[in-house]
Amino acid sequence: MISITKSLHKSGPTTRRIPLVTRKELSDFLAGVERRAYKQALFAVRDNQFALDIVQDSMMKLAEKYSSRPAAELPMLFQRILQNTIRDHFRRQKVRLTWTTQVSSLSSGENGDEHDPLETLTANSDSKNDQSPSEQLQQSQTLEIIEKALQLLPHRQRQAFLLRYWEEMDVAEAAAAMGCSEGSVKTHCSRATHALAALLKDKGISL
Amino acid sequence: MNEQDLARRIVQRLNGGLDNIKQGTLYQLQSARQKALDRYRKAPRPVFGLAVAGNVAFQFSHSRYFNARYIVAAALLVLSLIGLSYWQFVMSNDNAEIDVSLLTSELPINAYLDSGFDAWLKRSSQ
Repeated sequence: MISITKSLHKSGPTTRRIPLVTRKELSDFLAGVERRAYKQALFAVRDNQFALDIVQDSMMKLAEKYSSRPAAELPMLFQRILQNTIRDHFRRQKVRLTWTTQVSSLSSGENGDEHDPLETLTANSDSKNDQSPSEQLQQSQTLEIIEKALQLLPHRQRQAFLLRYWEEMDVAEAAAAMGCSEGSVKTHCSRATHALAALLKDKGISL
Repeated sequence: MNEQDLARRIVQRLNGGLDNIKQGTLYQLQSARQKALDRYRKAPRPVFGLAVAGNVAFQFSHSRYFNARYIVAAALLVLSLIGLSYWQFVMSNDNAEIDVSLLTSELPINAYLDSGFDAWLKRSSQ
């Protein structure tokens, strides 16, 4: 149960107390958001290990610096931290590429080898959806195409799309997380959706 | 299909893909979460004295009595008290000097208590 309180806003003689996040609330929040955060980072940096590092850094920053904030502020704070950490990754990458032009971390794991899609298809042990293996494979391939289409989007468009629709932020929240105007968020979202629609159409995917 | 519908369907697929993340990656995410939770710091409890002082200061500064008229009145009262204290201090010094002079003077104390002295002095000065 929430035991720690902090007075944040005062109006006149009355005082409103906002409950602060507990360790369990923080744990539950991180457990709920970690997979999407990992995917967001993966779409951006296209490297599994970098994506995991980014998520871990973001989680640690949130726990270390913002554990004295109310639980309701965590989603917004975490998204801002995550986006800034991704941006910092690109800054570091730019510096590295300046000095060592041979190394391109973006190309790691993308060596052009053919891979069997069945290798990435994990077994669904609970079998809650009665889908045939062919349907599961088709869904997996569709997901792969969608994820690659997302990776092809410009960074800001992908960011706006994921924040607005996947993280279910409103325009103002997405603008705050991205550090831009609400109009820019709307523009990026619209362009991202149209680009995705065109990319999926090219691949013959209809959702 | 409009923009919102397409976005919603894409997000549905993305959410479905979250269940297919490799077990090794999930373990690493769990490990990262645990490392982050190890850095969780409980907010420090406020010191009672500071909290009370802050609260009193806040209540005082937001009181309806905290306006110019009451500040001027309070300042005058304080100045009056300071003046009274100073006068009493000066007077007490004078009394001490009188006491000393009385005790060391050749005149008896009754000479100072003579109620007809003023009348005498007035008559004698004419």
